[in-house]
Amino acid sequence: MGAYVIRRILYAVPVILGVLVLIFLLFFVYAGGAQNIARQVLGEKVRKEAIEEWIAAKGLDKPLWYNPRASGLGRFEETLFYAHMHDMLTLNFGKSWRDGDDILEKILRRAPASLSVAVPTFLAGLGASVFFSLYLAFVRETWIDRFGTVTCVAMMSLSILIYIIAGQALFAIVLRWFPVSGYRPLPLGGRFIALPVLVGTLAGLGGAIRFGRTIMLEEISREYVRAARARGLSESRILGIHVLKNAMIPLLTSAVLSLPLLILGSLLIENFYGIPGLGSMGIEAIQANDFMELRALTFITAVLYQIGLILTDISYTLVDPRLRLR
Amino acid sequence: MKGKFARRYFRSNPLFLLAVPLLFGVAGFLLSCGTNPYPREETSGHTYYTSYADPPKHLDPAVSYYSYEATIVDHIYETLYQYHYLKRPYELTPLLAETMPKVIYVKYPDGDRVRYRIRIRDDVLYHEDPCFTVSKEWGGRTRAVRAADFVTAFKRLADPRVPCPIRPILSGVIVGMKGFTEANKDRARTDYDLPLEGVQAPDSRTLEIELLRPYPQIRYWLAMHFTSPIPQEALEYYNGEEGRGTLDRHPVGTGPFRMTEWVRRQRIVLEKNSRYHEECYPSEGEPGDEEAGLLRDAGKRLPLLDRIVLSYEVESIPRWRKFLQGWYDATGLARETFDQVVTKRGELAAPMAVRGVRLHKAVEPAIYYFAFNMNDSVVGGSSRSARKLRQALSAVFDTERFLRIFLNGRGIPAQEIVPPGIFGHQGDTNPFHGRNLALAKRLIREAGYPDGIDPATGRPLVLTFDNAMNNASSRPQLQFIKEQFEALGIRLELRTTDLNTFRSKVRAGNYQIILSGWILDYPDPENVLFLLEGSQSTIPFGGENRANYRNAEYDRLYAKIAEMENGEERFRLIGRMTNLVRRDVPWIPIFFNESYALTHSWCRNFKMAPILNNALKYRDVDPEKRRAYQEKYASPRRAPLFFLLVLLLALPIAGYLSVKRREG
Amino acid sequence: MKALFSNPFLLDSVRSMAEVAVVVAALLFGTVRVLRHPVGRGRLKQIFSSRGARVSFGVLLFFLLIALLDSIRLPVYEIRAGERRIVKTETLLEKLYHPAREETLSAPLATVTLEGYRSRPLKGRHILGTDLNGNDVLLQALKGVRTALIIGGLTVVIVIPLGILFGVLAGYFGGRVDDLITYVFSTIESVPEILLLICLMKLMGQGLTQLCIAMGITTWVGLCRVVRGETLKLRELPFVQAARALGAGAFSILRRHIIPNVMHIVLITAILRFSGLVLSEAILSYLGIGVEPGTGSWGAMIDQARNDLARDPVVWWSVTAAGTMLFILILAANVFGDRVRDVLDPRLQGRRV
Repeated sequence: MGAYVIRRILYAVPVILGVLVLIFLLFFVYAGGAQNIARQVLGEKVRKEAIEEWIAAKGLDKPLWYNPRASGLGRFEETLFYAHMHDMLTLNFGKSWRDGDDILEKILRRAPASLSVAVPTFLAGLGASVFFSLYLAFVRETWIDRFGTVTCVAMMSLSILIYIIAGQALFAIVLRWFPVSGYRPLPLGGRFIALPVLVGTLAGLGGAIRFGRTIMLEEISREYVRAARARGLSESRILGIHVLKNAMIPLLTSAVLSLPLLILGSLLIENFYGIPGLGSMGIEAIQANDFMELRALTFITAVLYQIGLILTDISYTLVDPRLRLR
Repeated sequence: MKGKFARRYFRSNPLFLLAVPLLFGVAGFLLSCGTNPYPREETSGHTYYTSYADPPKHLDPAVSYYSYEATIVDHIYETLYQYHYLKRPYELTPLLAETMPKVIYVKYPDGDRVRYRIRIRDDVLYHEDPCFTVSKEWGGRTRAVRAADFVTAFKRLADPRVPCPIRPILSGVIVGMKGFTEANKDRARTDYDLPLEGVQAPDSRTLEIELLRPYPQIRYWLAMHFTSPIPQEALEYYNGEEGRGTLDRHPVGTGPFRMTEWVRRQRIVLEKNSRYHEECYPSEGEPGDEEAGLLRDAGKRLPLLDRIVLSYEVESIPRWRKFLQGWYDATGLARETFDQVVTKRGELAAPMAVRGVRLHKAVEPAIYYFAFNMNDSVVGGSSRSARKLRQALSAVFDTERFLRIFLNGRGIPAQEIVPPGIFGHQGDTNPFHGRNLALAKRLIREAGYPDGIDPATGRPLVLTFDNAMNNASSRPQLQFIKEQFEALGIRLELRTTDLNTFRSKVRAGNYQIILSGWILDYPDPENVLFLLEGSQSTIPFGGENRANYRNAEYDRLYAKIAEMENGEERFRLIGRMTNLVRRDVPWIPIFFNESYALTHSWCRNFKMAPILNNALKYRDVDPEKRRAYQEKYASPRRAPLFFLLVLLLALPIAGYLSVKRREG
Repeated sequence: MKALFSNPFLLDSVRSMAEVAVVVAALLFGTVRVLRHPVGRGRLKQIFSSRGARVSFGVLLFFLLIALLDSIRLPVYEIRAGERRIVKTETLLEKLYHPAREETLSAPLATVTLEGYRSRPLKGRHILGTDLNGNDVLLQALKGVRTALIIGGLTVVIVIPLGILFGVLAGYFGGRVDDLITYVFSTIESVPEILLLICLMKLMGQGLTQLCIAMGITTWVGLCRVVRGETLKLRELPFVQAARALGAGAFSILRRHIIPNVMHIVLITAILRFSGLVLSEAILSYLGIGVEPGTGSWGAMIDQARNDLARDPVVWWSVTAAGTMLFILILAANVFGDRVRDVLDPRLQGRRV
């Protein structure tokens, strides 16, 4: 098992490095080097001295890949590429351009708010989709099933923007169940995250239920279900234990693969509901053209995504040890 | 058979066992939430709840310059003088000073100087703070304010390492301030033992300020937080080393409140200063104050509130909704909500009156304007072509319509730059005041861009409009501005960024057109006219003249009016300056704002005071009344939740029935 | 001829018509090809045997018509300085439906503006009311159609060749080629799509073309993965093996046997991706980094109007119009896409692609 885990983690390493190169290509090469970055931040018609000053202040006055003026290894080390890779891999994200704060500190400060929304959303979404897809599988080929499937497609077709706006209007203003917006750390702040979690869950539910239902129906047509029925087990027991157990792998995969969707959701939801997490930090960074922050956030989400994938793979092997051999 | 069916389908269903308690648990949690945005234990005492939209960047009184920071800074720090809370026109009264300053004219061989001698109160203590452990007074927790602390404060204003926005103004006035700055420029750190010639403390209760020339406005600066006393201990303790942060984050003042909590992008809490010096609620005001109940607390010790909770709130909808639910005690009035609050006659609408909400109005001593960058090669400069172009842009912008659409008609179209109610306001018309399309088209043709086409390229002239209007509600405004200017045939490119980037662009002189506003620091025309004075240019002097306008005639007139007392001659000279600005159009004045505020019935002693920033020490709330209101308007409507639960519980039943039918 | 090219507006107009002609020709050509092919005709019949598919296809066609009308730009003449000059262009849609421009907000079918202070009579009636700047909401919602379809359609067109090319190469040749391509797309995949889009848009600047390119970069990955998987399977099938044994070159096998047999997967993926792209556009525009201001976009409409929801009476029409249009388009695309998938590849039923 340990060897497998290590091998799996080693697979992720080149991908992470690739992401770093991609980010570098985006922010430094495509952006046209320091001059253009400075213009992005300072504006088009800024005086030359101001740009030079800014570039020097931010440490961007180095060549991209190769430094002919340095000697020895310095030719590669005194470059933007080296600085970028080195900084990112040592989690030294530098100072934010917009307020001069240390970015890692900022991320750590704001991560709890994001997690306290994202984790419950993930769990609630998984729970609800399993519950409803089992239910639809149970009532398959009845009017409830058809109605449910149509509802799912309709729910998938609504933009997350509508969920966010309508959710606030309905639950906080008309029904007054939750605060309109705001944030306090957990456990005191439970009522602040309730609405964002609810909205985030609802927004992803349509697709998840539909997918879950398909998986369940596939499982139901398998041999072991027939065997279980023949043994006289009740239908709800078959669904709730045997089918569910076998369906969990694709369901979990799909849930992990939809994590990027959760990130998107968190960007919009945090911004709209005034939650000072990484999502709203991302939005602020976008508005401020703060590439340093965007770079760090992109890198961190990519790493988290890889970790998610690794955990899923490991959980497969726990469910079905044969998979390890693949 | 029925029993067999049920057994076949539902026997030992683990889902039920799991789902039912989970469902009730979730429902119970949902029921318990409610709309209260504060921790429950805090809804007690005389707490005042309000919001802030811009996170304060600086709490250092020598650096902070934005009005949203001032509401926090001015409750923590105090100055020698303050404005009377109730009297209008504004009147200065002593706060940390014992009396009004004594003015002495001193003769020197190289010219006359003016000396202000101020006697300082001896019963004022600083907030308790760890920085005072070195002090021998009060068990090392605090100490009394001394005249030397004001000297420290002035030295900080001159300190080249402190980015003080008003240094250019005071440097030109206070003796030795420039010298102090220069002397410290080349040192590794600023030496506060060097003398600042023009600010002296002969003894611990006397402060003397010496000016190079008569400058009556200095009195107003002595009522602004820049000149608050700073204890040397705090400077040394909060030096940014050993994780202690700087004064920017740890204010140490003498004010009625102290900052006890600051969670960034969440909230700021100010608690009553238990050692606050003796100060009482004023016992006289202007006519009408008595009737408005503003004198009920006359003579009471200030501050009246125990605590102020400021919550971070960016968007206007949540702010307004929370006000309606009773979670904020007072709020400004957003454009979107205006219609439902104010009737056509400018009175409070009935549904609001029923809730006990009160409406307050005041014309702000402020002006909003477009500024051109006079250093720009297209819109700037004193050439005839550039001037005509600016005039054309001025004549095409429909100010009245702008006010009607975006400000519900509140506000007064600006024909000049001195706001009404301030001495020097001319009240006549500006020939280039928009909208006059025919005139504008003629002007732009004369500028060399017929129908907005740039002859050099054969395409429409492109101008850029830099702004920080990046929230949703200002996008229609941007579109409006674009359409207005593009009526000339030109193209206006919108460059929207966040506030900080925008500011750094303006500081770098890197823009063509911006929209800006100026809230007067003190009620004197000099405080708005200086914004166009040449030596105040942002480029290269780093001053407040964002337009970088330089006109010798204007500067000469400015120098005159700055030293004058109000009178006919001063009025006439200001008129001449006004006409210069109208001709050169470094600004397009847009409007003078009229501000509206709403308070709930439980708010006491609320009077609009746009120039004051320390009004909260006079205010009070009635918590009982507030609780009753929240009970009525903010408690959850729970019935639909039960309906939802019933629906969820109906799922198995409906499922059972339909499956049974399927099985035939 | 010289006059034609010297006037940017006229040139604009001619170019727009040429573009529309190309799009219509391409669509007609594709339809005819499918109809002529016996299998294609059979599949089409099967697809359209469902009422849902017929209705949703009708809706999509209607949207396409609106978008085409909104793509044809006609010159507008005005007398300026005694001369008849072209001063701007207007789309055919605006010619056909040209509601009066009002001062500010008005409710659907109202007769006065919604301006509590001083209501003033409207110049015309507006089925869906007007927004804060007095623009007709219906017209704005209709103008959003073109943006949405271009984003969805153009991106898909960009992505298909890329996805097929790399997917087939990776799947067929395996080895180093496969490793490299798989590495590239798993790297791109591990950056969350929305963040990558945001970064790309930040760097390229706002605009329709930029948006298509950015979305192309994030979308080809998914298509490539699917095509690769399918090619891996096809490669081992007897008829491909046989062709190889007969000495057919790799590229002729790809062209004759592999590509035609992955096309159904490509089609399914494209249709189902379409809705995702449209939704992403709305979000990016909502964030202010999508299309340029002034280009009709539902996301921008929702962004602008959400603060108006706090007004009383509530200004619901803008958000509702944009939300509903978005909903209808996506619903139609989803229903139609589902049907196409069910017919072309029953194995995939109900799965997300």
